[in-house]
Amino acid sequence: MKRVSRATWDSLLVPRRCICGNPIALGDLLPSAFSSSVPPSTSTIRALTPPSQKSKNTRLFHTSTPLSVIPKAQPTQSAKLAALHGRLELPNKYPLTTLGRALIDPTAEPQHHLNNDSLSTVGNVLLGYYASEYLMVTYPRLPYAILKSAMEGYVGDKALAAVGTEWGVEAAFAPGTTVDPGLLQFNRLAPGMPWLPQTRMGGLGLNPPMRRRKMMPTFEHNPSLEKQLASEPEAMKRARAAAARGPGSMQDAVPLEAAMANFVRATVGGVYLHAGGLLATKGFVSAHILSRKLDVDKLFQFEQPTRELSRLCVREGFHQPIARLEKETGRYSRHPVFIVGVYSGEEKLGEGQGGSLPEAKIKAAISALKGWYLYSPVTGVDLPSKTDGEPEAPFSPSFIDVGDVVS
Amino acid sequence: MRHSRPLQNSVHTTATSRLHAKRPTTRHIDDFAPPPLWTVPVMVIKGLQAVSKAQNGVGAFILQCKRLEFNFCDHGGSSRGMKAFLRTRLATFAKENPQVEIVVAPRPHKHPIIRGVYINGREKVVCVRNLELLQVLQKAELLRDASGVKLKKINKPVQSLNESVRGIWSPYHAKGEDVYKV
Repeated sequence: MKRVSRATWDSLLVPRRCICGNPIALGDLLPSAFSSSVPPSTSTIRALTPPSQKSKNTRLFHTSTPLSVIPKAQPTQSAKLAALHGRLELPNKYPLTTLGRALIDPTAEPQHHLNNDSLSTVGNVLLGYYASEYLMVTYPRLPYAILKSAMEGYVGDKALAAVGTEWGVEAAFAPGTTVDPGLLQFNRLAPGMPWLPQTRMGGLGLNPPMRRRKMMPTFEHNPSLEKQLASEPEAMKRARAAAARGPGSMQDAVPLEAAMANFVRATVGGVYLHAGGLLATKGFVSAHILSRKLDVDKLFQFEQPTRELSRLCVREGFHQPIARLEKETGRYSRHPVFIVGVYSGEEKLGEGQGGSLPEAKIKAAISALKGWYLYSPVTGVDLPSKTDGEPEAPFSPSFIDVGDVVS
Repeated sequence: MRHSRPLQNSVHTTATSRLHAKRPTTRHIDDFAPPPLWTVPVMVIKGLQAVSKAQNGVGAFILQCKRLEFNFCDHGGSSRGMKAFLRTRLATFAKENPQVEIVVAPRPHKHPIIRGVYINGREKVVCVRNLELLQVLQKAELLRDASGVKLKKINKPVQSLNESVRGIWSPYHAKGEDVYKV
């Protein structure tokens, strides 16, 4: 399997000025590449290059360590990468090298400090935090299953892959040394191969070595791992056996969707690390992710809405719901229409329209339940992240419901 | 059959209750009597999968033009304005538009063109033969500002993913003069 050239990415870690890169705009971005994305393994290089040397540096291709190979394409020379940086309106503090690193999937480059694994882990946590607090505060009575679906709709693989595509990111055909650093590099899952990530299948996922790269402890003689392996679903066991028999490409390959989603997560992680911490990340996530349109009321699938409404009224101490026919037309025709309202005492809870009386009644119950679950406080409620930067900020907490009706 | 008797039987009037005395036209269909607890199966709400949709400009705005390619011919006279543009204005143009990747490439023995590549995967090409410098700049700006979608006539004043706030007019809920006999 082709890898990203080691020389390319090691050379990112030393400052340099290039002949053909834009010396004004891109030069400003370079020094901050020193700040925090440098892994421990290169601390020696960093120590050899005092910061003052950067400003005095007039030589072209100055490096403190001699490199035998001058890589063909530097991230700072890539017009694609600079354009992506500009398109996302990232601040100059956000180095191009970090954005370039966010485009390297672990399947293209297994080394930790050269791929986006750690960045995407940070980004994933932040995305989950902001999306969940937004949903919980906006819809405090949302049932857990719907909350999970809505989270998936905002920060799931499909949604984030769509975000990445709409940012104008293109994928390289295959990872390699000659690929433009502005392209997403990952090892493609071969056609017909099953994609069984950990989250979908439960258990460990198909690929414990992948987990090893995620800075997990080693798995040899690990009783908890053996326990997890034993408790895996049958489909996963079969898939694991097939993967062991089949070509090795399956072990380290992902579909485009997953790689693109990881890139978006890594970009968010980079914003947190370089562009101003939690405050900047919150702004970035709300601008790019939470500003998208998701109809939460379309995510519900009820099994027995009339019964559930009845249980809800018992729980909340309301009068028992009663369905009343409010209007009808064409009862004996081919297309009758019934309008049914659900009442609890004097209060009208919901209304439904249908071609038959049961249909209208069920729709009315669904409308009443959605009216309950989709309650949203109009004003005066703050997101918990308001106090992230300033603990003393005035904060009015959200109403918290007892939960969905389960009986 | 729609007019079968059982359906009609399920609707029975309850004129006795005080509540319904107020609304003589409404009738009970069925009551929601809670079933005994030991017969109730677990009522689970399932979440359906959906993906959020982009609303470009709500929140962040992403310029839809991602690449502009400038092609010129070294010898042809029709590239004169284009070459002047590349020499004198392109650097400024690129600096003003950091969102756009700019590619300059020769296209010998052909008229000069500008090609815009858009996020939706489409391309838009403009031939700039014999155009002067500022005219070339105008064309470049036109391609930069384009969204990349096929040109089409837009008749509706508003396009939105959001539902109408007022709802859809319904003859069953109309009041006063709007009531139609349905």
